[in-house]
Amino acid sequence: MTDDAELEGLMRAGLERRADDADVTAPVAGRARAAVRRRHRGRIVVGLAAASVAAVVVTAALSSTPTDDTSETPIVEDRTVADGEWRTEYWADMRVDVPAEWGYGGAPMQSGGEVLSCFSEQMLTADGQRLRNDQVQVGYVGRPIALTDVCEMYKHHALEPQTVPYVWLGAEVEIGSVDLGDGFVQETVEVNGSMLTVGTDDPALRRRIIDSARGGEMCLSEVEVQGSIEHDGSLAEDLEPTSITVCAYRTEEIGGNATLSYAGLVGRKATNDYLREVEQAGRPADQCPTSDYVEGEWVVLELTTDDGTVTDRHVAHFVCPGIDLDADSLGGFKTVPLTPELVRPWAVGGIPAVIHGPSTQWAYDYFIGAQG
Amino acid sequence: MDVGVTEPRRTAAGPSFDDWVEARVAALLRFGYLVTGSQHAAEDAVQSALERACRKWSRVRRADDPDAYVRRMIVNAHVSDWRRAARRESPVAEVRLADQVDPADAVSRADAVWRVCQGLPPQQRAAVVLRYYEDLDYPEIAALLGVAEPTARSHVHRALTALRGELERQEPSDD
Repeated sequence: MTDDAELEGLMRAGLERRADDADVTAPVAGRARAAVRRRHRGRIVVGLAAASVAAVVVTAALSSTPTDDTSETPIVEDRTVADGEWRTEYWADMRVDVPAEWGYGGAPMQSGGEVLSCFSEQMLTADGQRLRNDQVQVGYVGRPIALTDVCEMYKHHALEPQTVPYVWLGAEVEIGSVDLGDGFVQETVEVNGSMLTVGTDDPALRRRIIDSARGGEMCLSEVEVQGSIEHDGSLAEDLEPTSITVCAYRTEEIGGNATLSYAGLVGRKATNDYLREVEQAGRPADQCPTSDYVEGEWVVLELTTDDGTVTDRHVAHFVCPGIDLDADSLGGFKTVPLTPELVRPWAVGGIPAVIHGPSTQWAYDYFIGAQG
Repeated sequence: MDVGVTEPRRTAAGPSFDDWVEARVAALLRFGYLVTGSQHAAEDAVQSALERACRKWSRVRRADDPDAYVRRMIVNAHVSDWRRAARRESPVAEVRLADQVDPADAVSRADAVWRVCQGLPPQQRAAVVLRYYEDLDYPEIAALLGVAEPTARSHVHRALTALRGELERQEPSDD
């Protein structure tokens, strides 16, 4: 029988001996430096190519971002919405302008061989609050995401008269127009591979919304779950961030790529609030060390400066709730626990309509709940 | 036009990346080799960790111990790879090769250590390497792995138990 001290001695000697087998001349440091240089160069090339676009976006962002922002309402970066009457909504590689007062709801989606909607009505206000019974529906942006366990067949929706205008992003609807009666027309077009559906009795409004549709630029439109989420070279961690770009992603299939489901921007106060909570969040750890799970939704938080430089990227996870503060991909698992304080600054606007939260009571204020 | 990668100068906040990596890369490769079990995986893990450290050097060098930061990234990369693979295959929980080894000398005992380590789940194995190769104490191991201290102790204890079993199986052929 071998005693513990002897076993420990054997372990030390065995590891020491085996470590000598490692080839320590491998040029890993040089390769690492070269990889970083490639990222820097890529960033400059991309930056030059996109300079004119970036100039417009940055100018617009500054013009629409009050420096003493005290609101938690998402700031939209596009110049077409700077007047506050319109905002920009994103889905996959599409963005479209909608009336700023419109809230959020569901849209038709494939489910079990049927086209269902859960639910095609306005369920949230524009700032992400649940619509109360005494509030009037003014219009909504719907995505093919189950907001509630109450669903209807889309073919029934098409038979009922509609009064509340809507924009559906990525809905399971065929291209073309449908007359829903009393002048209410639903028109569907394809934009950058995604369906855009507009339903309203106002032809000018419908045309303006459809004409505003173009390619998205705020976030990556698609991300490999285990792939890099970097798209702008290395991080400028020494700079002070003044806003957070909020990019929500989802995937319907295990192992499939994650597609952008929502994008927004929160301003200086929210950024400061978030960073203050991050400072107090403690040490990242595996929050679910004994669980094996598959995720389908994430939120990438890009901390950015006034000129759009990214200083850091965090990823919020919801199955094993936490935020990866050192994120390279959606697949990280060392996180700080998700808390209301860490969520409040950025879970605004459309986030409560696109992300299913953890099954804790406080999460129902910020995300889709277990029953909607 | 070239682009500077890191700040080459030494500052009060800590060494430059180049100075630090020159002094530490060999030790990191040995550590990576023990944690991953192969030269190829070690190079991948260390290169990936160095790439991240280089990009974030301003933060890393302010850390109490840049070595610990980079070792953590090496372990994370390996554990993360293993988790992805674990959806498709189970880890080898126990290795029984005692009847194939050369008995009766230190080489066979060293080999037994290696066989046991190769049969451990990645986090357990990392704990063993940190304890007996890097000589870290349990609070340091727990901090680096992001686990509770009792978990770190348990990882090491299980590895020692596995080594004891491996040696006992080896004993008959030692006679």
